[in-house]
Amino acid sequence: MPPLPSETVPAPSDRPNGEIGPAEAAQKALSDGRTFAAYDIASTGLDSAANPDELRLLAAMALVRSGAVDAAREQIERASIASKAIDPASARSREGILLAELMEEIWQASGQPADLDQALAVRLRKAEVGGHFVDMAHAALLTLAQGETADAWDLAKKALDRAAEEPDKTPNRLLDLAALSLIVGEEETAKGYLTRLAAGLSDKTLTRAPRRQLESLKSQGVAVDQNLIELFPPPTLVVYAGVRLRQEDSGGFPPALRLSLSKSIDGAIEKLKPTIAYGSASAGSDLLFCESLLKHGAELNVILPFQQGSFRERLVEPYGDDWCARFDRVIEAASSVTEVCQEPYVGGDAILGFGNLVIDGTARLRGAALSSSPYLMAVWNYLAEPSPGSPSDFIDHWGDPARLRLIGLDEIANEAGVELDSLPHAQPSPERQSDGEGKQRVASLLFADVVGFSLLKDDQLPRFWRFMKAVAFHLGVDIPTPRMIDSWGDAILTVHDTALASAGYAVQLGTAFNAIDSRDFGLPNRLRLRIGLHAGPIYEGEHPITGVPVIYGGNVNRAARIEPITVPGLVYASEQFVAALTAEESELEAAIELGGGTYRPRFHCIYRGIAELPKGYGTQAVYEVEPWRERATGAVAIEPGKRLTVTLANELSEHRRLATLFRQLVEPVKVPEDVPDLFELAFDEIITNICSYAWNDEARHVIDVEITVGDNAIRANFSDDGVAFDPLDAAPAAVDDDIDERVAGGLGVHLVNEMMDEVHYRRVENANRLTIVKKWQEHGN
Amino acid sequence: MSEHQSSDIVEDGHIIVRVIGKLDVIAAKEFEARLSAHIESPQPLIVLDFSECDYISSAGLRGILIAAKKSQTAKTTLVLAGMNKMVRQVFRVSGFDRMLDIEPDVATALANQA
Repeated sequence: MPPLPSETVPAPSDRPNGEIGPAEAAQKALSDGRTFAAYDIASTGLDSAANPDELRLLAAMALVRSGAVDAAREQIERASIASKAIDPASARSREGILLAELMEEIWQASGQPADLDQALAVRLRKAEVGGHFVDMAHAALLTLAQGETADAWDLAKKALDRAAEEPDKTPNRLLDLAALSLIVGEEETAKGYLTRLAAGLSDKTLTRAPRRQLESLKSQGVAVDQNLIELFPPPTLVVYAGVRLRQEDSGGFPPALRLSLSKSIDGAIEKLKPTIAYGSASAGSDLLFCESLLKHGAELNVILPFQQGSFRERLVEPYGDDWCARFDRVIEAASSVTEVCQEPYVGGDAILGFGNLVIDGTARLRGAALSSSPYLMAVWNYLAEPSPGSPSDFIDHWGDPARLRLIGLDEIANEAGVELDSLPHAQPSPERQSDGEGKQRVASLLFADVVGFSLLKDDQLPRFWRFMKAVAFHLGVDIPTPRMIDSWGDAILTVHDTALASAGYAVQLGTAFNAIDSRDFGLPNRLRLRIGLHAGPIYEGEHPITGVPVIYGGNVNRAARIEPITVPGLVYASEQFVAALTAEESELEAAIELGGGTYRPRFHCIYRGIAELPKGYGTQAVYEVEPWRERATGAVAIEPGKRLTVTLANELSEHRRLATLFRQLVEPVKVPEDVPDLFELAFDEIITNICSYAWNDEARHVIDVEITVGDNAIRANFSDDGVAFDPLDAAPAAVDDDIDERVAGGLGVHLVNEMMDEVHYRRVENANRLTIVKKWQEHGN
Repeated sequence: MSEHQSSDIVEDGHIIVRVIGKLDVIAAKEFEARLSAHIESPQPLIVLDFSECDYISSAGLRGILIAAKKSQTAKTTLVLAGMNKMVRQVFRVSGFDRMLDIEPDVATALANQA
């Protein structure tokens, strides 16, 4: 999902007779977010392509965006452009442009310094032979990300000189120009570019890219005025929820009530000015919300709990032709219409409550992607019984009262002189509910299977089961117990009541599987597990013939279709699942914080694209689900001369960022001239130590740093949640050994000890806490 | 990266290895590889020129220690020159100044070995 319209690139080369070739089709699929289709198109086209490079790179791009970074690297290695030096012709070819963008995306996905180096090398080479502004600009930004402030300044200067010759001012170009101007300290020029960019943004949802760019520059030590960042406010998101009409009110609200309600909704929307809205479209206040939002130019996303035709029939048609016409107009004008379940309504509350959960979660997901949290706007009747699918579904769990806008139906009714005995929301007519055994419930489903299992021969199978036993041993005792678990061969199906439990099960299962190498059990390959998650209403029952508990329904079939399209080794989930998970997490967060606790997020969901499901199941937006890890980006607070707090990633290069921030911190203070150098050295040694010893996995972690400046001392604290490790305990460096006996270990700690005045280590709860202090005399050095 | 790109001067009888910028944990890996390659060359004298080096951390020291050990077996002389105050302090504190040949600048290093 490119944040801003991409730069113009030459037309694809593969259009023999006006037909769309695989490269163009793959490119189109990528820009539509159909990541998996893009991969299929590109990799299938590879066999017959005369020049397979472009397709290889497109396939690699699709892989990066679906989370398979290592597989993407393999594709790139096989592309010939990656192995030979880029020449002036290839610098501006489609392959050249793709390669440069790809390397940057790989670095953004992996966060590894080696990937940053490679991305920079490609940009530098392209800039050198092609001399194009984009390459020079990106080279400057990547150099800054490496912490090489002076080099970044030089490169930025050159790029700005070059830009004067290329007049084209696309949004991307304006943002690049502004970033470069800030790097070289020309804030007024940057302001000019940013003001033009802000004025030209047709869509207010596009503020995220500039905002993130500016925040990232700031975290890398560039002076960025907050007013510049405020030019790009995050969009205002709302979830709207209206009370439904009573069945017996056919014909709708009394006209007097409808008018006053409509006016109140208009007023509330005028005040909050939502940019993006999510909600349903039942006759009554939902549709009044929709109309008002459309009138105010908001992006309206309608989410219906079940099939649209069935929804209209149940929740709009009974209230008369006027509401039907309004419904049809709203559906026509909405930016998106999504069915949570593709099945018609079969009765019961479950689907209505689940529909609200998905609306809530989808809005929060979108908010997370745009750095904004949603508001809830609800028409509310406090006398009404809370029941699934009513606004109270949202209100009760909303959590943040500052983001709640309630419109009291009772007051409006009073003013309008309408009698409201107690206006409950209407249930869709219950006659469709099948009798007895067929009651639906909402559940979270997990399907898992082992890639390559069907290729195993009979003599290998006992080894396979020994391997699976080892996996089971690794699962841990705290794995969330499923309501139901079933298996067939290598395949596993579990049913949980909540998405949180299901995601926990999936992550633990995946981790256990990845922790054990099947080759240690005499199997020919490293086996990988595919895991797919989905949520929705299902039927539960007993199999009439076998008597075994079974689940069935459209959502069970859908869940089974998601698993085969997943990337082995990762956990994938449908959008419905992820929305439910997000809503459940926010509800849990609200409950914990209400009790005075601090909530630690559990899962992180990354949008991976739109997948085409097998066997006519249409398309499905899918996400990757991974355990939550704190993200390091942007977590900087600096009060020059006083205090700095920053969250670093567990990467060796982070000490450079910290050193840059330190110099900003002490800039207004008179400290002895060797102090910044001494701290720079200490940062290098301490961050290297933590990165090397605190964690035993390849995952991302964070290091919290807090630095305070006193009158004649500076103190720095480092905290990490890794295994207990006291660097002062390590064997002291033997500084008097001669060259033959001398070993290289222990030197870093020794240097820090010698250069600082105090070094302390403490294990606090589950964290390592290292403190260093440097002091100096009040007058002079 | 850019700042550590090879700008070494190879002449008959000696190699001058220019250490540029910050020899930190990131730069040390490439520096170590570069230095190892030079030690294996047939030149009898290698001078590490620190005059453009801002600072060195333990990872950089490690590379120098490995090179010093290799130079003993390779019968190459390794001389360090041109250190600023900070770099000199790191060498002193780590005890490296006592086991390595350190000269104030490159000219002295070459003259003393001639």
